Amino acid sequence: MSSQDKSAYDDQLLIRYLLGELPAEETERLDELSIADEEVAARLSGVENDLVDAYVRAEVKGEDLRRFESFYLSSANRREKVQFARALLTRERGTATAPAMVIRTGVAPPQEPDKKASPRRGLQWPWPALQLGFASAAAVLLIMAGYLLVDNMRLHEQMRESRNRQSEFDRRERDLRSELDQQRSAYAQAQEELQHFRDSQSNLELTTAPLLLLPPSRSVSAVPAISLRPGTDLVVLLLTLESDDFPAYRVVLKDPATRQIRWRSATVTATSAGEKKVVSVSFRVGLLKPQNYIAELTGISAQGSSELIAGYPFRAVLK
Amino acid sequence: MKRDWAPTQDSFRHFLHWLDEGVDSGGERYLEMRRRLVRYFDRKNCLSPDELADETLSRVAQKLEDKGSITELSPAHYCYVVARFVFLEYLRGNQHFQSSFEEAAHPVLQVSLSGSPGTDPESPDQEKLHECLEHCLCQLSDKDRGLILEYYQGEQRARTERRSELAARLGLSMNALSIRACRIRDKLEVCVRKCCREA
Repeated sequence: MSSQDKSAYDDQLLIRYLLGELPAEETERLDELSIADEEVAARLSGVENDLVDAYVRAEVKGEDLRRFESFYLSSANRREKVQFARALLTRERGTATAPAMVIRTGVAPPQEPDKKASPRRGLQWPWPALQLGFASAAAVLLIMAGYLLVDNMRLHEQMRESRNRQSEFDRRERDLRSELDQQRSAYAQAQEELQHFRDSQSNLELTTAPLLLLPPSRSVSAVPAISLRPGTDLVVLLLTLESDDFPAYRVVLKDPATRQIRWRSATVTATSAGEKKVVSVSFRVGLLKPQNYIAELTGISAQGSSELIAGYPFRAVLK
Repeated sequence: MKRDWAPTQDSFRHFLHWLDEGVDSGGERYLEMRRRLVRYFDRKNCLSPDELADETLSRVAQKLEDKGSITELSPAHYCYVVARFVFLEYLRGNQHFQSSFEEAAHPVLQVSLSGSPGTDPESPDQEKLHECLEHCLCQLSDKDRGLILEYYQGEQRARTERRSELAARLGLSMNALSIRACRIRDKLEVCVRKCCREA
């Protein structure tokens, strides 16, 4: 994935996806990539962990906080993630305060009485050393008092935040119940969609529209077209290779007018089709509109480096 | 589709090989795909994401056995297509759908409150959670334990800088470091959940 493509899936977009804020089409696209694209799946996991950590550290604010609590926390698994993150944080804070405890107990260790010292020896203590000792002890006490004061203020602040949150949660419960009603009506719509799906599908027998694309040549020739009829589920592109030079390939579908990426494949290998070698990829028909597209083929070497091989133009026609 | 279908050893091996796409991962690709599917169903607010992920993988394995090979889609993409079907079928179960929202409405509060800064860290559940976390951290190698604790430590601003330093020290790209940290964290979370449930 190029850095330009990466920016299309920046962290903010993934956060909006995790918080259920994206439109349905974009959500579905990320649903697909979260399973079919290794890199997006990995980035999504990283962003989710950081989001959960940010929540338990009270770094999530405003609308994101509201969405987190109303949407993200609506699943038992995700609530467990939050509890896990909280345990990690508690451990981190406990570890972080440990050195302070060592200082407090370690600065003035109890002196082992000198059994050989005479009873009068106390009178012979060097006064400057004694004063220095008292001064050190006083300094330590001051530091401890300061630390406790700051800690106390922090706890008060946390209690106040806790009370605020509790009232916020009460409000959220009411909102959630109203959201529940809305979801129930959305469910009725989902049922309709499902019925439509069942009518057009019989189990996993997908209706496909294939298109064989020859290697691009310099001669002027008509752009091949693919006709998409109603009821078609998948478009299958067969990109013919001039030579099979790479162990793996990737295909990116672009809108030539805007150069915007509409879809990208996972890593695929070339297969034989008669005497020719082809790279076969497929995607949902819903991605195409009646216009021209370019399927860009990239070869991936055994070392993982990628090289653009060719762009295969074609036109989509809806029937 | 036969509902009571169970893979034979051979068909399961064939399935793993197909998922691996020619590079033997020792079952890692299967586990990774299962993790992605569980998260997908979880994001869709399904009640039993684990069961639905297993159902998806079972159907894909069965289809592969029936057809002998699946070449029209990459394995990961094919799993997604099947997962979507499984999800739509799940939606058909009215009870599931409604109860998932009923279930969602209450524990949100319960857990959110338990997650507020005022949580009693010495409640039995919290205590158990911390014990399990310590136990599971001890199960990790020294290297993995050090990495995860350092990677996820600190406030947002300081964290980015620390992660860059850590990546440089380990000779990894930020991306590779993030993937490694996520995998260790996944492993740790699974261990902690298991430990808490067994308690």
